[in-house]
Amino acid sequence: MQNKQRITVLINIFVCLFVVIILRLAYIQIVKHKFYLQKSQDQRTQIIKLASQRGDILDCQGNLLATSIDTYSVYEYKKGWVERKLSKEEAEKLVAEKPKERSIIRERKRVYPNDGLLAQTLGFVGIDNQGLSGLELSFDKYLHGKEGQVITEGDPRGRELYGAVRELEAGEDGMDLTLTIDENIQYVAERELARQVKESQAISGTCIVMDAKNGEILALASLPGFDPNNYGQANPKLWHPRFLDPYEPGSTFKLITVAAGLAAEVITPDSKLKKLESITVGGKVIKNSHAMNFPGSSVTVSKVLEQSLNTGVAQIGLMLGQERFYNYLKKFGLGEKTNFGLWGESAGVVRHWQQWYKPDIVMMTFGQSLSVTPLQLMQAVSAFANQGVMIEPILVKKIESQDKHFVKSLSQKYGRQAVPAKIADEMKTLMRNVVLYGSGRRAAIKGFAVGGKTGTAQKAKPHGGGYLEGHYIASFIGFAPLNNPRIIALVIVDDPRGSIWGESVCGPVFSRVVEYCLRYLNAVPDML
Amino acid sequence: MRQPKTDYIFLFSIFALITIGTIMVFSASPTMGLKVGDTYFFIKRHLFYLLLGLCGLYFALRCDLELLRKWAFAIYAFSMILLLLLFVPGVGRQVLGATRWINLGLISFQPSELIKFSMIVILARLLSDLGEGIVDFLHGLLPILVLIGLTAIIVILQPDLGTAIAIVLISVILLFVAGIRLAHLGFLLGSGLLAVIALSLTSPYRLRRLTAFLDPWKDPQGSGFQIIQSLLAVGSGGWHGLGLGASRQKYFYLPQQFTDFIFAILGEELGFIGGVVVIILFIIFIVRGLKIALSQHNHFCSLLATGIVSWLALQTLMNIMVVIGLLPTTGIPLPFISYGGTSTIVNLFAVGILINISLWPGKESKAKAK
Repeated sequence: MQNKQRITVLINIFVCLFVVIILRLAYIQIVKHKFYLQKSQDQRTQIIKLASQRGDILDCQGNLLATSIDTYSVYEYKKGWVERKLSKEEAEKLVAEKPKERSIIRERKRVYPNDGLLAQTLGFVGIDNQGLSGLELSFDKYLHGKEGQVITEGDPRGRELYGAVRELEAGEDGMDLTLTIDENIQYVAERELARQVKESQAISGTCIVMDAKNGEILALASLPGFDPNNYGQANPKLWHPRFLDPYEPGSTFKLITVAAGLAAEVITPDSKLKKLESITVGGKVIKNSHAMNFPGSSVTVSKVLEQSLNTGVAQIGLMLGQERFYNYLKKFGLGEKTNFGLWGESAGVVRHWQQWYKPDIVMMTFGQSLSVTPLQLMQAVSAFANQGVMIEPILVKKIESQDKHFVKSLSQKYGRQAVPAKIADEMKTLMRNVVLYGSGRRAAIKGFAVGGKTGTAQKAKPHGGGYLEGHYIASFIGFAPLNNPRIIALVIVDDPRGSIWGESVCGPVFSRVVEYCLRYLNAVPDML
Repeated sequence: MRQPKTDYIFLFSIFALITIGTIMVFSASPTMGLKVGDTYFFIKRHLFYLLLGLCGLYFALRCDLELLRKWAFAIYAFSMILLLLLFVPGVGRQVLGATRWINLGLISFQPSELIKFSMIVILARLLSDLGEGIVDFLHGLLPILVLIGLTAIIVILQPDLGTAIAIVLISVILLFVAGIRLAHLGFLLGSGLLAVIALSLTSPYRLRRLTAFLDPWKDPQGSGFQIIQSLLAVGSGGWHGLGLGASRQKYFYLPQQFTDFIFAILGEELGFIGGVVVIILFIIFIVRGLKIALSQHNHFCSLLATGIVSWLALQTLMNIMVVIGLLPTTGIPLPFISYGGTSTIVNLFAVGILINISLWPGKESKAKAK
């Protein structure tokens, strides 16, 4: 029967088709097995990042300035973060609203226990604990550590599979940063500065305290500041550490001019200079800020500093000449970064002498037509406290891994010999005279001999082209005790109202802060 | 006289396939079950459908095949009415862009599963009545072709191209076995192929499926997604598979992981060895099933058995070929293995008919023996 034959044909066709299927299965499952297995693994492999523990920032006594705490963030499926870094109760409340879609993820949050203290120096971190400003940014490489990760298997929605194979790659915690800052000195410096800034209705103020022996910065106050715990609420302009920027130092710079004059032997401490009401250089008329209410037709070098006579230092500048004066400026490290630790430091502006305009040679003698950073000026003046050797300022003392296996100590580097030791001692006496008899009287400290210099600089217009009328930067730089200097401090108040003079605005701040430091450090009084 | 006796190997193959199917549904469905809130949701339903199917099987065993032959037109008409009901708004339930289910409250019923069976019954009746007359194109073959064409068109309109193709192929097999002239057969196959191509080109979703099948990696996140995920599942199985229950692709990477694509999960968990065992069981079922047709002298019963076995064989081939990337996605379940209400019940009912045929001596043959 024909039908039966055809059924047999049908059987054969079916069996043949199944053989094709078996061959195809063999190809997929045996020949291409590794390829498909890999593809399948790749698509379900999920990497869960494990945040590393960010290193702490400590002061020189080991007090916490920045640390991290556990917080709880709420994540919603497909929508992402709902809110991050909440307390446990707050997070649980948010999850309870949509328990199926939301889950809690533990995260570390950066906190600054002292709120605004040292804010601009410390800086802050972003929501993912990445350094954004200040030390948090400059030392992010060390503080951040290395993220760990869990490699696991997930479904297309990202949820982990049941019985997923997990693989853990441990991360590395960040390192701790120990600063040279002393929390207590920082606090006093900020307190005294804040009082003065408020009293003077000034725009801002800076007060830097440095160990005169080793360059360790003990306080870096810059006001107004902000609270890095809530940096988003502050004006972003306040985030920036002001002391990184250059300013025209004004009369404090006369110290450098006199030291250069002494070192170049164009003057001696006993030299007599002409007592001039004004001096004209390159068509520019230079005058003194005060009337000279003392007798005689000449002035001593000491008197020039005590009375802060522009016409006096101008004569020294003219005696030095452009090239020689410029070389001394370079010797004092001006126009070069100090590299004390924070990113974004300015090098200041000291133009090459061949580019100077005619009056520049005298303008610079009293700190105009050039700009320096506060730390450059302190570094330069530190030479007078240390037999002519400049001390480079440092801010970070030690970088240390959590397990103490990695330690990097950063000690101070002795800078260049700016002037001979003899000149440094002569400068000490001259600075002493300023505080004893001259414009620096209000910087005096009971029991200690103080040397220093005031400054009252006209504010340069922001985009060049002369100076603002009625706006000044008052400052005072000095060190103590005189015979064995322990502390160098610089106080700057920007645009004070009422009294504008460095002596009355900055002298008292210097006096109170440095007195606190000396007593805090158990310095031996040298003027009983 | 033919001595009817029970074919235990045949019965074993069916039993083994149903058992493997149940285990695979058990393994592959909990991920989806969790989504509806009950891990065992689909397993419970599957067992319930099996129970209904066994009732169907018993009923089919007991039914009078002569009666089935007599009522062939009525059964066909009933199936057609159900099929047409899908076009009445409110009756049909739409799933994945196609209306294929009649909502019966607790369960949904898929008339296209029934129409395949009814089509076999009516063709067996018509062709057995026609006998040698099939060689006459105009008076024998043409009316039957019109019937096949009409049925296929209605199924296509659902739209359910896969079932339509299955119906046409089953019909062609029955025509072939019933003694169609090979010249006519060649003409039919040629024009059928052209029709499939035309249909594929007129519907963008069919065309997308077709191109995805040819090069799934062109659009791995879109039209090629399902076939790629299926290949990843099968391929990662290797020789012996990841182990029962250890599938990774069932975690929502592979859609329809316990219905149309259950063979992919089987390949992933049980490997090449497991896959080949299942295929051998299917071959046993088909060969032994067609042996029933061979040994049955009653022309209607022989054609009915051939139709039923060919139907299940075609579904098996089409389903597995889709899973391993030899055919574009058609939406056909794997007999005895896939989860699915209507198909499980109808398959078991059809198996009941097959067994019934194998045990039935056959009236016509008696008559001819005289």
